[in-house]
Amino acid sequence: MKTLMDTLYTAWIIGTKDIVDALKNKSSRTNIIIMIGMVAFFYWFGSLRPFDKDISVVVYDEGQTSLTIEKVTLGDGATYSFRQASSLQEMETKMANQNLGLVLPSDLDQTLASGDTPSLSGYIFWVDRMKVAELEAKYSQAFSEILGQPVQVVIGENIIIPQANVDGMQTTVASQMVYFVFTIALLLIPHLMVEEKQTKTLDALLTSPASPGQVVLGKALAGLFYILLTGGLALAMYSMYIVNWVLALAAFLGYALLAVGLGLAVGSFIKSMKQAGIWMVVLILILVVPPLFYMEANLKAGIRIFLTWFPSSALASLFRFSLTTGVNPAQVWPNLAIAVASIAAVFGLVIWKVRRSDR
Amino acid sequence: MKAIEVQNLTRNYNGLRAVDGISFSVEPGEIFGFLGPNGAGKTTTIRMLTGQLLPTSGSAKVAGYDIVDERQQLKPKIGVVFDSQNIYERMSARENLVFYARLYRVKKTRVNEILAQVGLTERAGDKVQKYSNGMKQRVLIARALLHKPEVLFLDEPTRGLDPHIARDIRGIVADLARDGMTVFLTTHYMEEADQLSQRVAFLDRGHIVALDTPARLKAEYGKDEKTTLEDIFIQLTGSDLRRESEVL
Repeated sequence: MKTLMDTLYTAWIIGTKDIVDALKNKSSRTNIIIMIGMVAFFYWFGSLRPFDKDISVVVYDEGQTSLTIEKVTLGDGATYSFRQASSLQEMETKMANQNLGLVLPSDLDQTLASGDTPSLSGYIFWVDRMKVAELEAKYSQAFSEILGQPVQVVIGENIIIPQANVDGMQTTVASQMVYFVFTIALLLIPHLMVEEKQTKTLDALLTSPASPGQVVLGKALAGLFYILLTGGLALAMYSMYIVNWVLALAAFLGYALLAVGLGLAVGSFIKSMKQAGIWMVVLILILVVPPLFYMEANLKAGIRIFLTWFPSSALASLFRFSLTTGVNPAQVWPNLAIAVASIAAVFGLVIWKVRRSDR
Repeated sequence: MKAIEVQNLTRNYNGLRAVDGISFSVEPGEIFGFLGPNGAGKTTTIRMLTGQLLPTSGSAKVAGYDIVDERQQLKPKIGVVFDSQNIYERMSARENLVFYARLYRVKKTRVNEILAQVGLTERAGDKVQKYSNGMKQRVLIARALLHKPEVLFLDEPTRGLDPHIARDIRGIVADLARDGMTVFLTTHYMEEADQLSQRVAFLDRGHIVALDTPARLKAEYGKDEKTTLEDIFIQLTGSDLRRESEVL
């Protein structure tokens, strides 16, 4: 117990030194700010925000009503654009990246003609149940303005949580997390090792009471701090989509540990930051591309299976599952196994390499 | 117990023998000069004795601890001033020392003490990157002494420093030995070794070619009273010149 506490304390000392040192380094600060900007950019332009002014709607017209609804800008500046679906099922599928699904009832024409207030069923993705009433009021007001007389949009329990096996926003969010976490990690973490080697401060560190394992652990802590700045921010921003927090946090921890391990591995094996730049590009491509495409239906089955074996795909799957329903434990375990094995292998490699500095 | 005890220590690098079966011992409180031309194996020896590098064969004990099997126990007993100025440059001298004080579990009050000892109190809060070479060297010495080691390894501590600072550093080293610390010193400055060391070893191509007090070495190998340690060094370790002429 004393040894464990001692190890953690030493790692903490090294980690906090690295964090303070990085914040004093102009280039590290710039990279962190750029990445935070990218997280905000992707979130702003890529995510579903039902309270925004630009709302995309998929419409299923049950009774082929006489209404033709086209893109419209309302008095408050909100813009509504529309896509048609021929069935309820198609509407849900087409909603993958849309804000609202709307069912026009078969008796809509008659109800409107009689001057009564028709009730339209609204469907939304993921949204917090506490906010449903607010959204119902917003959409009711909007469609009353669009249709020229009072209507009521009722969402109730029509909150759609995507299915685990379906492609959609959940895949995009999961692969964006891969990008945010691994880019910041590979941008900054190799520097933690390379600079110590270039300035030979690693020699001083290794003659101090810190063991090679404690040095690696300290660097990993500093790396986790970088990842929390960007990946943690992304996790917080996308938290409204998360259905299963245990899976989400497990996947995020996996992302973070693998990214830190890879960053330290690159830093251990290379001699200059120039080399780190080359490795960063190669590794980001290797890590980011598979989770982007492994759910693509048009890919050949063999290629798709191959892509799922990448650790970043396994982690993206775990994160995607945390945003979906109908997850079968049999789908979780293989991905968890790939992630854990990859993390263990990468950290083993780093500790082996640092230990070998005495050879 | 000897402060340092070395038996047949050997280190190979890619088939080349950098250190070839050297044996010697250093008494507690002694300043031991370890001298040799470039590439003779001085830094490799220091790296092995400080646990940074595994020997290919042979054994050594420093402060009573085996350099291979008891490396972790050895670390708090030694201080190392490296041949490069390996300090965190974006941090101040005080921040550097506080960081190492925490690693060595030394009280922070010791940082002020050691800053005063090396004459850096006034500039302790400045970033190291603003320091002169001499000031950086003082930080290195302060770092090595922070935890009051039993054995201090100094790898060319005055290289590239102006004579005033070099003299100050020699003064610090002499004071340390007076206080009972064992000092293992490598230097290219023979006058420095002569002035500071109780005994010196000349290393050439990985072998110790002579080991004794400066006075005895001068008596044994010198031609007359004017013979300096440098004359003897050149006489015994002319391998650089030999190697260069072989290449030419």
